[in-house]
Amino acid sequence: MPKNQQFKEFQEHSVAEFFKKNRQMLGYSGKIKSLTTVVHEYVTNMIDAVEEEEDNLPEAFVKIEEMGPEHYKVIVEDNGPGIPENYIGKAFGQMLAGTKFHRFMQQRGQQGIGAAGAVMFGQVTTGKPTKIITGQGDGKILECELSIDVKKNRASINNKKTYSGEMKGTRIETELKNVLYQKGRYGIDEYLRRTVLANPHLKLTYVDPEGKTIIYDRAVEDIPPKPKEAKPHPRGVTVDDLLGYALRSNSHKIKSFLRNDFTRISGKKVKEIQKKISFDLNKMPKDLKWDEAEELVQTFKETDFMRPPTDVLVPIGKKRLEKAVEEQLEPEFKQVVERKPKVYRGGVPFIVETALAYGGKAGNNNGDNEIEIMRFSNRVPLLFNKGTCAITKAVKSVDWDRYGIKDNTPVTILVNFTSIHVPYIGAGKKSIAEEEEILNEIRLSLMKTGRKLGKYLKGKRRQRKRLQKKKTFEIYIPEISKSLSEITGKKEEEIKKHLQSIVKQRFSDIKEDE
Amino acid sequence: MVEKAQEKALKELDEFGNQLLEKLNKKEAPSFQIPSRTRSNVEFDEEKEIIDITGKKSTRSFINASHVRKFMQTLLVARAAEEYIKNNRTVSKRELYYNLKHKLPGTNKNTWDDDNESSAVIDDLEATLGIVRQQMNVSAKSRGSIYGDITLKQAGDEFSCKKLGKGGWAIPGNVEDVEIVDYDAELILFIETEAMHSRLVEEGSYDDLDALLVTGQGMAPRGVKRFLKRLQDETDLPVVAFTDGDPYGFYIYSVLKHGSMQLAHVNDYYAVPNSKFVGMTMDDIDKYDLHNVTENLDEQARKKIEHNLNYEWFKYHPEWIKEMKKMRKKGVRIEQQALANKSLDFVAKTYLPEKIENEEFLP
Repeated sequence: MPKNQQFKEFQEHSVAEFFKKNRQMLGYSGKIKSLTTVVHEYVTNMIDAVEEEEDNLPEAFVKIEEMGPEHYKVIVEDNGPGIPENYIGKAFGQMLAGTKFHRFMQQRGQQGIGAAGAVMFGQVTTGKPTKIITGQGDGKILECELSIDVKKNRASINNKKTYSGEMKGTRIETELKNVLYQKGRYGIDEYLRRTVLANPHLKLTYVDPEGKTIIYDRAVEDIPPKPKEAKPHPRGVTVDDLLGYALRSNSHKIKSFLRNDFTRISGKKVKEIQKKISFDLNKMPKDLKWDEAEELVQTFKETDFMRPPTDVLVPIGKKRLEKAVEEQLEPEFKQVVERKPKVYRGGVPFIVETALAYGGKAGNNNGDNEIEIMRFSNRVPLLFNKGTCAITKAVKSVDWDRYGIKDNTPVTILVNFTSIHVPYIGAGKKSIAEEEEILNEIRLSLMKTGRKLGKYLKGKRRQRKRLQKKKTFEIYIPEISKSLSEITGKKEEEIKKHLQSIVKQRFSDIKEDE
Repeated sequence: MVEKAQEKALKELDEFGNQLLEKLNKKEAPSFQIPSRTRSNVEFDEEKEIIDITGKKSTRSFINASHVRKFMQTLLVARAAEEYIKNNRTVSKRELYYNLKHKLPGTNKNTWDDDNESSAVIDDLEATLGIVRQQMNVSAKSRGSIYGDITLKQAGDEFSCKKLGKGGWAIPGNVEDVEIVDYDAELILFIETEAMHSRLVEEGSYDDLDALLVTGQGMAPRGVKRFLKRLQDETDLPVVAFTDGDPYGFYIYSVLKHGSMQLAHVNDYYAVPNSKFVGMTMDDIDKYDLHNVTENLDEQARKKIEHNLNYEWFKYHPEWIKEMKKMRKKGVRIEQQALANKSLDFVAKTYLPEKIENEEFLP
């Protein structure tokens, strides 16, 4: 694929105005949350962009500078492909104009509001544009300032400078006001820590407002396989989706649109569907009306289709996740469970991965006396709206007590939900909707991790008891040896050695180093 | 100098230690057998006519978590006993407790925390080795005395128990080293109370009855019991008991004759099965018209009668059962000293001579 192919897929949507009025919905509410959201948008975009390239391991630099009270500058730099000059505006300046929105493929960002929203937020709070420096590794560096013309939903690029120099990647600098840097569960530090956990192939350097540098090294050196693009499954679409697809379809008849743009709809199926519905499928897709689309979606639900292919999903992977957990949490015990792909709503494939870590740095839940839950969707940490999320609900629904796990047990649970279409609640993409199949999958995998930890803890408790029991023998050995030696005249040391070896033999199941 | 009784103890201790060592050499966890001393393991041996422990034994092993502490304590006492015997030192139970109490090396745990622990271990060791603690130079409480025409020797001193003043010779807790040199008597009279013992000494009953007068001041302590046993063994004189006419007095007699449950593992050393009982009996009340000096049985005494009625060694003697039932029916008790109601010397001049002469005994 030519390098710039992805940028040709941009499609314009005029929603900048909408964003401005609804910024809470997109995560720009609250001073701490807003700052984290900006970092989140840039970092997510950045990793996705780097992964578009073959053979490139992502390396990121994140820096937060304090400019004044509630005034910060966010700098994010990547080693990605860089952005050609004429795509900069579309990449950062237009809402819903990203490459992602209309592609049916597993990606971190989903709706394409992200980076533009962050640019917009900076602009609204400071009046200043966002600075972009980008290079494609061809000896030229482009530097410019980008702002958004809200009325026209268009980027305006100013102070463009081109100079020569070696750079491959993109650096974004956005100033923000009315935001606040804080450590803790909603802060950037935690967001980045979790990002690294779910992206073990990422190298991240982070400089916090106090100037402290944290370097997260890669836990794995291999590039994860690229997700495949897939056509939507009829069971996975909503009326709105269907109308959207129909509008952009190149087919001349709905019949062929259904066959071409969906998976698992054969000619035979189209005939079956035609029999069930009241209008003619020979009409143009763009003439599809809302109530007709509704009828179609309803018919999809009543028709049997083959399940969608699930090989389009790429989870973190058991071994990678294990390494990440090992590297970042240094736990005493860990258990990673990767379940087979499943389908929700009859048409959307998804994979649930869970990791449970015990001891070490696990269970550091910012002072809360409960199990630490790290939620991810397509490897993106979900920090907010914990309560409504299917992951949280699944965790709470498990009877951890049964596995000997109490509220104060140092446990971290990590759940990564992988899907092409994540059923988020709201446009803020902060929590996953409570679909029955999803909840069930998470629950099952959590129960497995719980069972494994329970078994480990039981063994540990038993070991501790055994050790205590061993001690009860050992403390009496010197006194017994002395007495028996005096009674019999046998050397005390020899008796001692005999007794010790009897105890050792009896407790041969206990590891020596404990 | 090590006495004969102590020699046996040394031998037993040595065997005990070597037996443990043998197991150790075979790379086995050392353990020893210990006759069970629980109440359920106590029974009346009709052939020997003593309360004995059955053959049931339990094992105390070094490698058993609930045994190891006691295992250590048992060895500690065994080791100390050997030392006491060799150094010719006798210690009290309390002394032994303090003497051997110390922190276990490298811990903050004591060898024992109270003297219940040390006492139990001493009893265990007695049962295991088949010797009494006096033989290990751990003395019992000394209480009680003997008065009469008998010459004894202890610690190199020879003395007549008739020439030590009105109190006679105080019987020590450890009588293993007492030697009987000479005696002139026809019977050994065991008297429950010290007051009655004094009365009989004052009235000259040792002469009138040709008796060695022994008192244990209530329930006879180990020293007195052991001394009586040795006296009986070595002189073959009959032992006659004279106690209060109540369930407690009769129980004291039963212990003298058949031994106690607590010392079931060593009753061989203490019990005198051919003892006889002279009084006080319920029939005495009628025969000597003592109705006006009886006392009513209280609730506790009545309970004690019921207990007595249930012991195998009481059931072994129909006469004892009869006596207990009579007591229960009359609802009264009669003390030895109630005989003073007749006259102070009535017991010495009339009651005892008459009953002993006519052998009016209970078995």
